[in-house]
Amino acid sequence: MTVLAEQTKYIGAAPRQLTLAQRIAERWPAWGSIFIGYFVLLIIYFPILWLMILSVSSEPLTGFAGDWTLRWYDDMLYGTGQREGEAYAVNSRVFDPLLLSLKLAFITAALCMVASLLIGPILPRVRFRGPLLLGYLMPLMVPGIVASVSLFLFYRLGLHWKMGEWSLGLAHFVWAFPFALLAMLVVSSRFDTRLLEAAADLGASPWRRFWDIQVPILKPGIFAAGFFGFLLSFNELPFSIFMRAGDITLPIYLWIQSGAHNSSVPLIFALSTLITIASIVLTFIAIKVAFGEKTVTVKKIRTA
Amino acid sequence: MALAEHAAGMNLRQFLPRMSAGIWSLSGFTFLWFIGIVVPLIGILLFSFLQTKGIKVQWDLTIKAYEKLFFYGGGPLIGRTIRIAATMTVIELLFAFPFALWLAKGAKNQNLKLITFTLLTVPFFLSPVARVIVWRSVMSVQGLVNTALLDIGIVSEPVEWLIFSEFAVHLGYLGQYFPAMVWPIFLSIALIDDEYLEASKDLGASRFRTLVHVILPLSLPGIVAGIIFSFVPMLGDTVVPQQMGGGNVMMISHNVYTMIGAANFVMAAALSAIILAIMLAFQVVLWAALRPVGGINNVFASLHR
Amino acid sequence: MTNKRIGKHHYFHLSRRHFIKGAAAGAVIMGAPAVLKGLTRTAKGAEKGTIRMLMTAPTIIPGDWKTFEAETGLKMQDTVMKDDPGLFLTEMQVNDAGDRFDIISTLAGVERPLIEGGNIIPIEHKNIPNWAGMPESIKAVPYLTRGLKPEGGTVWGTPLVMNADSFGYFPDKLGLPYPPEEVSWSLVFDDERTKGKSSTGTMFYYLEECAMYLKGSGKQQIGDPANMTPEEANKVADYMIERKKAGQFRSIHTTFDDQVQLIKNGEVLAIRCWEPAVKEAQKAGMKDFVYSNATEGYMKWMHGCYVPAQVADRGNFEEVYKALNWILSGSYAAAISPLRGYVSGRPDLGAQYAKEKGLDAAAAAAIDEAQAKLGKKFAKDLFWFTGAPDHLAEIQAATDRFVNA
Repeated sequence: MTVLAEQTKYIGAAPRQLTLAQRIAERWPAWGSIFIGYFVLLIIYFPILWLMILSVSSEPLTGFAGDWTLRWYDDMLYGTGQREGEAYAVNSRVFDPLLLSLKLAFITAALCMVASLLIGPILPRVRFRGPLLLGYLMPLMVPGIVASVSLFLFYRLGLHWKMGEWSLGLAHFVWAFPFALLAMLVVSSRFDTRLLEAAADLGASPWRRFWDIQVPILKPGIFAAGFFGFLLSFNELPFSIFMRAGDITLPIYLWIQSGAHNSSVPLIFALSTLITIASIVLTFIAIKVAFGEKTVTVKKIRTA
Repeated sequence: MALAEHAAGMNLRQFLPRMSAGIWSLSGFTFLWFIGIVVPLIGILLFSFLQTKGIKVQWDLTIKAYEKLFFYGGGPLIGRTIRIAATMTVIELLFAFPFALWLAKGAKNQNLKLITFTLLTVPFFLSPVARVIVWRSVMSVQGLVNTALLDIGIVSEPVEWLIFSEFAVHLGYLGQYFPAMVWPIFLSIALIDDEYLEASKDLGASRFRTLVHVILPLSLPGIVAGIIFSFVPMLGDTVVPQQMGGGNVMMISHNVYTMIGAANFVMAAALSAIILAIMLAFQVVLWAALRPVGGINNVFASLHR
Repeated sequence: MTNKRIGKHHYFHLSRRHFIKGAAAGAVIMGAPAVLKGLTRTAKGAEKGTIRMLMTAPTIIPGDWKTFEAETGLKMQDTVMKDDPGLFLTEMQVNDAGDRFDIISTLAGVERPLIEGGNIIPIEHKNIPNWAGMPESIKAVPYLTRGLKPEGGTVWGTPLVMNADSFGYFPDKLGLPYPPEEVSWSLVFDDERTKGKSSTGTMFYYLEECAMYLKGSGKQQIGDPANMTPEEANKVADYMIERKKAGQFRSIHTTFDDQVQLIKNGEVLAIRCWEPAVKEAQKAGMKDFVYSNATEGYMKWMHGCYVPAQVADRGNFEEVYKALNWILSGSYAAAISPLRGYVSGRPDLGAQYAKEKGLDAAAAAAIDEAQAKLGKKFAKDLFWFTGAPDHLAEIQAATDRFVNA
């Protein structure tokens, strides 16, 4: 624990005259935690970077790079089965699942943002928040595939509703909402209701109080909720397995391919490389926008 | 005192319109959620006491599913799963907390922070299979690591336990769930007002005391969220145990899947009911562990000023 | 802690009136999908001339459907799902896949519950010209004509593809002969030379294979490896657990890529695998890795095509039969055998087609090899894999016991 304590020195610590040895001794916990953090990031990124290199190698499954080729990208875009001599036609087998996954991810993100904004600020202040929170976190406590079966049994066999995109969307929301709610609660549970009281005293309408005070202050939480919603939906597999009727999302597609007697190398290596590059760019922009703005807004409101 | 209560009453009345809208949406949503989600999920408990023939359900209550579950080796499987998931949750927490603390309060370089945030987010976008499949070849007997070790002369025989072993499963989990632990902790620490920390220092508290008595309690929601974000998905992870363990270190998720693949819904429900019980026990332990700081219910409330 | 300062006014009371109001709104929203469904319900019939086919493996698609569309004048709309019997039966019997598909193909054996449930209907083979010329040995495969109902002998399905699975091994490294010389399955399960250097898989049919080996080598008394009793399955699992504890297996694999990776990375000397995995390794230059001819027999499997009961209401039999006939034609055989090494229902027509169209030598050789398999590997009469044995749940549970051990 003393290791951690070191970092608080950054806050308001007055400059002192220290010998070099003292300085190193003082700073090592901070450097230690930084080192550990980036070391784990290295463990995360080594396979991803190596995968990108292997995606242009001819023998990716052996783990050795070299003999550069673009055939996996070719196979991914045009399918692996076309016969020699035939004109290539874009085989859209990957694109339809990708589009469906993106669509579901956006819908899930929107639902998560709205739902957690509705529930998050009030939940910490109601009487039965413990049991209610437990109820909301319920989907986290059952293995995904079983939750999928239970919901399927309830809606299909109990209520006789046919599965479709609606149920797929519901499944993704059920999976993502607990995470989104927790992310929102981290922010909203320290929301100061006196701000609202003050605004009410100054004659602000409920809508203005909601829009001008709650929403800006809870923005990091709303953003986090949407982000978790999007990410969790984009990679969701177990809940989708039963809550769909013929619809194929990207994870479902990869899952089906993995059961086949042919190689899913083009999909895993080439597709993942493209998704990595796209997500690095998009995430960097999104984070720049979100975090840059957050600090300003909160500060402004606080000091106002 | 009377005046204060009167003022509170005034406020309450003024607040009524907004509150009722809030309560309205909360109770509506809660109703939907409990009827539409919680009831079906609890239904698996009932289901685990039934028997099926094909996909037809026989409505006689029985504990056959549980007997079979333990006959078919469910005990050691559950034990192994919890052991590995719990170990890795603790390790993730020990690694992630200092890093999140530095990221939230220590790191000054905006660009470095942005890049780190991006690096912590991108892994979420990638299919879990893509993130671990490379380890399989890198760690294999003829892979990069073994080749390097043999060349340097550290070992004379290829090291076999680098892959298809418990070590490999732990390694796979480390990278997979680190961001899920860092994010919520970071978020909760970032929201702590610097004034608190300065006040603590002004009052003469050592850095250690500030950490334990100010930062730690205020970041509890993040820590709890982080534990849930990593422990729970680890229990249900199908990819890491299968790809890194190579069938030598199986965990429950794969078993649940094969049971359902073989139309054995009842045993899958029984195994899930046990997991549900474990999760509830986990909540109790968490609650007990948090008692010194007011119990889990007060974790969120404790942040009020 | 500051929580002591939270006054009572911070709690919002969930009054009964509020709750009922919210609940009523909730009920309306709950009901909405049902109402909307009523409004938007339309007959989702097939477009004329389009065949919608549900398949349980992407591997059975002959590259693309261009030849099919050119030769039959029909359009093909394929949907692929996994072949786990539990998932497939749910899709067919609970999700009414028959409403959405004109032909379903599945791992043969899974059709039995579908026949019992009335989900599929018999096929009039007179309307499929290519049926008649099929070898008698294929016609006799139990999945196509199983006499479950009194009208025994009814044709329930037509073959799509089939193969006889065994294991791959490195003859030179092990000092063993190359095929067509036969080698024993003991190489996978019980051999000092392959100890810690062999691999089998996680699905229940790997247990059935081991049962076949135990039966064939006389080590255990087993009735039908394809349809074991729970006791038999557990005895086999005991044996496999004993072998696992003895360190026989390097890894227990799950996917095709797992198999290829284990072979290419030198992790195994013998591995139970699919034939395309061997082709993949050989393509990468591992000419010393071969697919065995096995002493004790093969796991023979088939994917069959079946017609959902709903087709009777839609009345597009003519188009369905046309499509089924194409799958038994030379073009399909000539596409699938070179691609995967699988055997179609009419390999003879495939060979004829290859000659007529002047396909390259490699393709022609693959088709000839597929045809030859019928006389050799398929002639071993021990074991036809069924996707849905009577005690499927118990057999999978026994397999899991081995995997989890």
